[in-house]
Amino acid sequence: MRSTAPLLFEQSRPGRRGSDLPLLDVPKLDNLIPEDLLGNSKLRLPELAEVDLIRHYTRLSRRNFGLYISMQPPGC
Amino acid sequence: MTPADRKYTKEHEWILFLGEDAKLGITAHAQEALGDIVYVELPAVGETFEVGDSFAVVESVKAVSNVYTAVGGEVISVNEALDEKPELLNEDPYANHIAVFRVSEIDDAALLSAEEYDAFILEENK
Amino acid sequence: MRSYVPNTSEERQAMLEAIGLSKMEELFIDIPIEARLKRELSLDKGKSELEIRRHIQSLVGNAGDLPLFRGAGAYRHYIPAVVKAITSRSEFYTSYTPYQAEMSQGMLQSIFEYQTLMCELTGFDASNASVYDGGTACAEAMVMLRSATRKTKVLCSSGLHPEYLEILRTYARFTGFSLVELPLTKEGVTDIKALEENAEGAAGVIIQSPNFFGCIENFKSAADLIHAKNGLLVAAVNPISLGLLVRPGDAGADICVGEGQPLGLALSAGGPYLGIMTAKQKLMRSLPGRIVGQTEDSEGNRAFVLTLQGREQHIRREKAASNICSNQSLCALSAAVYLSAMGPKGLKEVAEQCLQKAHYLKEGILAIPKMRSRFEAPFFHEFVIESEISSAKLNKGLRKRGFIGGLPLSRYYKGDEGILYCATEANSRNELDEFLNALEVCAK
Repeated sequence: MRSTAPLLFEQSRPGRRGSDLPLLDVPKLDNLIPEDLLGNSKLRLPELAEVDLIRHYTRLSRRNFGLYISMQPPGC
Repeated sequence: MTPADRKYTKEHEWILFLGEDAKLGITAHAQEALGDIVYVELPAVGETFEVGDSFAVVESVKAVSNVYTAVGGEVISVNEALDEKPELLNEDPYANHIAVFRVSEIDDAALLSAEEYDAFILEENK
Repeated sequence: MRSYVPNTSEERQAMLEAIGLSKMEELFIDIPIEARLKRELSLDKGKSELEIRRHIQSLVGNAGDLPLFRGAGAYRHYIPAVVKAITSRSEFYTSYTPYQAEMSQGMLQSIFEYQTLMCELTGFDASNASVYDGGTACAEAMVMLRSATRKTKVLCSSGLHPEYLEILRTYARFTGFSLVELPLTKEGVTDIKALEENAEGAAGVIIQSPNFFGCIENFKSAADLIHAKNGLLVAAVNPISLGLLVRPGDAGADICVGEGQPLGLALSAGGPYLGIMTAKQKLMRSLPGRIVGQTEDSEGNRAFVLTLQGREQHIRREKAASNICSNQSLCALSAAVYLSAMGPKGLKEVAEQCLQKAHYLKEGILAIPKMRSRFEAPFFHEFVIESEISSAKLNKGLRKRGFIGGLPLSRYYKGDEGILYCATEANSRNELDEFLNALEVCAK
């Protein structure tokens, strides 16, 4: 199946990041949550840089019809 | 050829009586009207139904239809092949039943013979 | 005052003449004279955009900027700028429901991606395109329990958000469910013995983790117990907590619901929020609402459409899985952008910071005389503190000093002077310390 708009997961590259946080500024405590309640595998989310996201969604927006383009007859 | 070994209903179901039990399915006319069948919601084994209840749901690309029973009773088995291949109902609607009932009640007035059913369809299509 | 309708009176007159009429009133002749309004509407004169802006601003004041130490179902998190930048594109926020696939491929693909993200985040096979909010999702999950098991007895933990409980009670009362509410232990989690005692004949059990009081529940033990009695487990979750906690799908849950507000949505005075719903493959057809599926167009290109519409009421009428025929597309888009911007490392970091800051806050509060912890179970980023001081008095003092304190539990539980505190990655160390100082003063 061909596609000219790859999915987020298809554009994911290990190590890419689209955001950041300040470093933790309180002392880090261990063992706050018992082992059996923790997730032990890597979170399965895509890894994309901010610019990847902007380009991906801009591309998708150009394949979508909105009111700024023209009126839409369908109702609610 | 509408098989003469079983009974039919005006809702386009067929019932094949086998002693205490009955096999239920949908007719060739039904599967043709529905189009490509993509999913069959089978009843649970052990579930009981009364005459006139909807015991299964058949979903095609263009419609979702209830399948009604002209017999009351308990479902003793279902055609699990329909889980993987719902299109069997299109391929051979008379060889592929939906469920088997242990019959406790029959709505005789609702049952048609093969000839009566064929005549009914002809009348409907006029 | 301009109207939102662009056509001028001259243009309207020309339109009327084109259809053989001369006055607007002639369009309403089918309404009997007795039923027609014979006066102008009693509304104020319209206001200009500038006047409206000023008015709303005067109502809001500065409440939105004050340091916040409460959550209780809706949380202040850092929202990366990229989220707003994308959702502000008019092609997304003014587009209609994607029933017409050929002009909605952008939105359909983004919802498909959202669904995939939800499945990966929670550990399930299928997701819908979202429902209104966590509470709705919870109630719809209860309905799924019935269609999956054909039983009407449903168990739920009293650790659920009180608003979710209220919604469940309403649904139960009017649609023939018998709802059994399971108490919490003194540690602050669902009483597993009570679950065991009531599990016979139950369609399933609904448990929230972290629960309303912040405590982390054990989905695995609940799942084992309820499965032994042929019931199902509905896990209600906070998606941010999944940056650290075991995925409900891996812990044995059958259906997962959650409030998606923490994923890139502002608090926004209570909404719009995002109802997450995911489920195991075998339950896919009883998921309510919209589902986007992948297919191929006539030229062999990948394309997306609304699918499995046989569940929905415009096809099945009263036999539909639910009456919900809507989703929260723009909110789902925000969640998808947020999660993609964060990525696995980012979400883990957010969750870790929430955990550490909340524990730091609790330790600091407990160092203040008269403050006591109510529950001892492990918690994520919320916890309940008791003292002899009225919660109203404490919060009033804090507000005077420029802080919004924890949620007084009396909001939901009459006579309960406990306070539910929350800290997230959005609370800086400075803020936390200043809050603790202010709280100490107010508690004297």
